Amino acid sequence: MPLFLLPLLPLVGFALLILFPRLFPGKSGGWLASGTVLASFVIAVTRFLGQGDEPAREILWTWLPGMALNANLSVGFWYDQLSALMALIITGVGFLIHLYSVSYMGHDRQFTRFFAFLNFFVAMMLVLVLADSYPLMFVGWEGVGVASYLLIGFWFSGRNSEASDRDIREASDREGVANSNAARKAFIMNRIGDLGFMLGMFLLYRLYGTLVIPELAERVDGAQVAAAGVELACLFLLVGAVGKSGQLPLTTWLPDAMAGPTPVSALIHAATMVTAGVYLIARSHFLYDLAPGASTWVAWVGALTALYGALSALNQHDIKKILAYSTVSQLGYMFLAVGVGAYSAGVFHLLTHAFFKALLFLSAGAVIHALHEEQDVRRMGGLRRFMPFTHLTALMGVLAIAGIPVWSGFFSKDAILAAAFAASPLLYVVGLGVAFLTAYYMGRWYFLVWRGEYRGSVAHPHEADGLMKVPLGILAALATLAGFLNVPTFLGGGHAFDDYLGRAIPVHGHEIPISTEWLLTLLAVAAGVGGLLWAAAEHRRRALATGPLGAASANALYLDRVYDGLVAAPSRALAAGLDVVDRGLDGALSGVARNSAAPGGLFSRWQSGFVRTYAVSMLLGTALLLGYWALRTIGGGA
Amino acid sequence: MIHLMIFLPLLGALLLLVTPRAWREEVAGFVAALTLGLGLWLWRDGGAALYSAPWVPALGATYSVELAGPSLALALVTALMTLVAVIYAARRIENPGPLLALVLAMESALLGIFAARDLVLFYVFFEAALLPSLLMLAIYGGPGRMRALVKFAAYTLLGSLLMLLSIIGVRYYGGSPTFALADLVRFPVEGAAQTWLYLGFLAAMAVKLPLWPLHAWLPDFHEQNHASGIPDLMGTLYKVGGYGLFAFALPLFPDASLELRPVLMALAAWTALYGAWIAFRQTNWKRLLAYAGLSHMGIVGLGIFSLNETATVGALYLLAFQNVYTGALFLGVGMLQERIGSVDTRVGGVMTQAGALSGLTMGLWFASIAVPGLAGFIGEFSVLLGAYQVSPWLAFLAGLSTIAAAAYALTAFQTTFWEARPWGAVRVADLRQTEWLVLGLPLAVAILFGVYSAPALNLIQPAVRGVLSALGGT
Repeated sequence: MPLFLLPLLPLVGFALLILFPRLFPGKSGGWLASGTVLASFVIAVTRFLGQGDEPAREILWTWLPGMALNANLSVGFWYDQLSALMALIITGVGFLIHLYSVSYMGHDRQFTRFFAFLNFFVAMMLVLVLADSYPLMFVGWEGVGVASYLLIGFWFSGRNSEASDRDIREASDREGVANSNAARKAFIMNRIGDLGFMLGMFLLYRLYGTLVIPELAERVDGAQVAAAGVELACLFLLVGAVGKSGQLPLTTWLPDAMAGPTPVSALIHAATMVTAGVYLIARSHFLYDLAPGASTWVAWVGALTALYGALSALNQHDIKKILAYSTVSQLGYMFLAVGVGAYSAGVFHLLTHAFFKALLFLSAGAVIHALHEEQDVRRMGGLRRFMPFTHLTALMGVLAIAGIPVWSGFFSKDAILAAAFAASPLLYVVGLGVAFLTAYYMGRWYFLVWRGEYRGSVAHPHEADGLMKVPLGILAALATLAGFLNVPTFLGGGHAFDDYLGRAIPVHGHEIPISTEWLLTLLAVAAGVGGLLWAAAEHRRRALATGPLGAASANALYLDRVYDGLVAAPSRALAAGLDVVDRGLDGALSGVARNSAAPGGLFSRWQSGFVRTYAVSMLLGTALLLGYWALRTIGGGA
Repeated sequence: MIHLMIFLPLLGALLLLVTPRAWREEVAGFVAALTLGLGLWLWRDGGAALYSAPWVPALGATYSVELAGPSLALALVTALMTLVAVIYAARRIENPGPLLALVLAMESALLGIFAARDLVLFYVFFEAALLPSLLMLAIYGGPGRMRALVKFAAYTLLGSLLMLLSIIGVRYYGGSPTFALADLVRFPVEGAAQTWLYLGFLAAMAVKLPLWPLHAWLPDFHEQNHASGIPDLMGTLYKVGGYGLFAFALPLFPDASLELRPVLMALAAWTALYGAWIAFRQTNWKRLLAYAGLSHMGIVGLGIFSLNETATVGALYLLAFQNVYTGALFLGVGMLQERIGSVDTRVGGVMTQAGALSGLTMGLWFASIAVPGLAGFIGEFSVLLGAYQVSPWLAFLAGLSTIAAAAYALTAFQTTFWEARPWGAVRVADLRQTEWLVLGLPLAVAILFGVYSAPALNLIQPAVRGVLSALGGT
């Protein structure tokens, strides 16, 4: 089946739902949207099963002037092991989250609009991962940005904008402003990254004369290009990746993005869109292999962001914010992996993270639903009695992200830490420390929400309904078992995942003695177990509500305030200043214009009465000029 | 056929003067649609070849017209947007006869500008388009219209005067028998004189582009024009500076354009960033759109001045299609003003009540800030990529405007259409009847030519190659 069907089906779903919402009463819009994504998933599976070793390229139509090798760039899709895998994740997890949303968003007034946007997102994400050229990837890249903007700002006027009670209405208005600001912030910060991405494309074109990825990969080997050029291009691409994946320094939009509905946080801001940066670097591996300097930058950006996210997550109180900072931190791991050349490990963590983080967000969504929009973990507790099924699935997610053996996160995190160890001990130490912190804050999340006394105000929290249980169950199974796809050799596994992806992206094996690898694994497990035990001990002492680092962590190390002071406020001031100057420039220049156009003597008598005369005289002058020519034409007998 | 297409709207305008009041909308709509139809027919036939006849032999002026390549693309967009303007005017304006006549007269002049292949003819059409736009401002403008009008006229006429001198100079120093472009190119002006003549020509085009610092007429012009946005749409179409530079300045002044390239590119890149930055500050939708347009025109200028093929193609692409979405956005502002009586950007919550108006406006804004997959992106991306090959730093400077564009567009959109409707605010009605067409058609065009660009590229690319290869530049 042709590749273009993959993004086309959800796109058609989007068009139908947004243009003819009246045709879809009740929940039918949600079912239609889920159906299109399911159809795409089926196609993705069929293509996956029929996939050969050679990548497939399907070219559709001409699009941009120049930009390919001596030709106009075409819209085309590229299907290798990496895009196959991404397409499976996007449509698979995407479908489960669509299904969940049919129940979760069931009472929303804009139910159909929500699914239109969700479908649009899936379509754009598929374009992103299937594109055969950077500009087409950029279409998906900004397309998912638009979808993210629309969905973060989904409740742009607050959820009670029609309320008649004044207090409720005012709270809703404030919520609307906050949601809108979060959406706008995400888009603008992404645009900063996008400029980097664009500059990277411009430079690549300058160096190699094409932006088609297979053509580039071919030319990179033969072309004689200054190393500094490739390094710079890779750094530009890194800026783009940093923006989309919420890495330092462009990270602050991602926690704010939690203003969107919870399924959106699960799909866009955990499982798929934010991993696009990792995908971009893995896709450009042939460039990064030539740019050791830029790769080191990638690794350190990842390591520092992993640390930043973990520290910020320690003392959050919003059930979704903890997960959001955790996402920032886990994305840092993936960057660390692709930065040290372990592309397969990075993409494997992308896969397992998509499962367990989507699972955690959807579990959090079930809790928020049960507690009537309560999001503060201090007002939860003991929920395992009310919601045993969701409790079990959430526990699977926690064990996976904490890196406890046999759960998926253990295998993927272990591979990253081993690769980091082989590259630089310092990176390894940061990574190990973050693993410990991760286990602690996820343990804190778990104990505060599910264990201890119930501290909430809703009398009888209800368990999630059947429609929400299905995705939770499937994701819990995947989060638990997906690790066995890639069991490393020293544990007696066949590392099937590395072999599969290795056909598209070369796997650089690292030389670590087996005894060292065992040691590294034991240390990682110790960090995970230690973190959970620490959280359990704090739970016993009933001291979990206040995490370590106090206000610094709760304010995410004050990064937002720094940016507001250093960038946002000066920009606004400069805009105001320029505006004043422009209105002034106005006066000065039109003065000059008048001076040269009008006779000098008259200029001194400039007054309001004269303005009109002046204008009319100009009109008349032009008219006379035209009339003269017209007369000449007739007179000239031409 | 080409002559019919150019002058049909003018005939229609004259016809409106004697048409009974009840039938004026229909007649104007019919004429505008017929013009567009003629244009599409020409397009199907591959454009109209050069037609040349002596006009004022004593002066050496000829009547030379041709509609092919970028001229045809721009003419088609002009015809399309004029039709949209007429449709909206019929619905919005009470007794729209005079306005419709002016719109049609202006369409004729604009089509003439794009078709002209003789400098004097070009000048005549260029000035002729000024009359209806001044009259629209004078008749339908806001309270400060006279100030805006004087400023607009002063800038334009001063620029035109210098252009006229250049036009005469080109023939005088080159020794061409006529003012026809084909003849002038055969008798080029050499040396320093070329640079001076280029500067003279540039003066008029920089006002009309507009290029910083000659843009000051633009914000006032848009702010003071009629609230419906129809004259603003026609004014947007009148921003022909980029076209004039491409069609006349590059072939006539090749050495000078190469010589002045760094300076002009810097000015254009600065214009792009400057416009976007100031737009962020505006709280009046029309001023905001004016500065947004200024920023786009900076990008167009960057592409034309860079003399790079990809960038020039992108510049003409952007020039053509920014008319579509910027023009439609002006009409969208008109619809907003009709409903809430204000063009302020801090109304709040319109989308809660008028979903279609807000949604279509949002789509048009995404086209305007060059979200890929929409027409604005192809132009802007190509310009920046091409300019980067010539001057990375200037491309970076202009590229900053893409960030600023997201900031100004989304901020104004948010405070108008998102957030909550204030207590007791008037209820906003959603789109009615032809209003759907007025916003929907331009958005559809923006999507179509953002995804499938080949029809427009086929018009633009060969012409750009021709001009630039004659130039011998890169």
